[in-house]
Amino acid sequence: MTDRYSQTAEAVVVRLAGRGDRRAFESLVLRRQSWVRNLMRRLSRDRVLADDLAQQVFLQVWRKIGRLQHPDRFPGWLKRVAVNVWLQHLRSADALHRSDAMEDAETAAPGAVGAAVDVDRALAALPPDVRLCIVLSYHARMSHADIAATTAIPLGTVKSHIRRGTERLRALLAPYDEPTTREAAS
Amino acid sequence: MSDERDPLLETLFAEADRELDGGMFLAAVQARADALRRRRLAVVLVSCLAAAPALWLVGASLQQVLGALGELVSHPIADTESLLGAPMLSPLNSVGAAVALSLLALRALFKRLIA
Repeated sequence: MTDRYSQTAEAVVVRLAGRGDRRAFESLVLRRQSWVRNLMRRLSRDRVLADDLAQQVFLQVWRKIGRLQHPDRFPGWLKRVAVNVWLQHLRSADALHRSDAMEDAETAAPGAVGAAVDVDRALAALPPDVRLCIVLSYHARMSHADIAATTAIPLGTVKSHIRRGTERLRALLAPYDEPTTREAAS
Repeated sequence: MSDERDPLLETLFAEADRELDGGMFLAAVQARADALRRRRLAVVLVSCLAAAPALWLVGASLQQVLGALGELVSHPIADTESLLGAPMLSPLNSVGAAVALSLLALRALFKRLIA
């Protein structure tokens, strides 16, 4: 399909989508789908579930975008919608049920390559709250204060989650550091 | 700890963040949005169909209640006929106007308190 608004500034597209322009909304989906799907992949480690949650994010965006008063704040608003969808999923009863099946599904995921698989596998070793803070910091590039405000986790806890999570990920992903170290040494 | 990020993890997250094909995904979002719209439309239609006989049953009583409410709202608070600017005051001299002004004042107060 052709994206009629591919050359239009995002704030304008957001405003049009807020007025019910379906094509504008579709353009926003095309612009932001990779980011939202990757966020959900980092959080859930399950591609099917991640895409399902990402679709829920965009359905909520379509329902609520008319209430967004400042179109230039769309990126931050989208982050909040995505985090809320993830937190709702965690709270839902079947989240725990599905998490058992995730291990097998992800280790056998076809087409997954390199860093994405290793990062997701390392993230899987973190407790859910720590993983959420790490993903929001590194994937969504949110500040600690923003993470605290979005997730309702106290700022001090966010900082300690990120410190602990970073240490754990560094240990798990240490092999990636070796070539760099070797290059630096030579 | 400040908001600084670990350089190795930053690199790995950036590598993992691949551009994904959006065609199939968009089609799935469109299908779900359409299904949601159809479901909502069905709910509205069923609600209207269910409300029609109920309205027919309570229509007469409802009309009486609305009539009484209209009278109450337009009832003058004070006798202003003898005053010079009575016609100008008449839009404000009613129970409805008093209620509306009170609600506006409460809203302004509430906004000021939470601002």
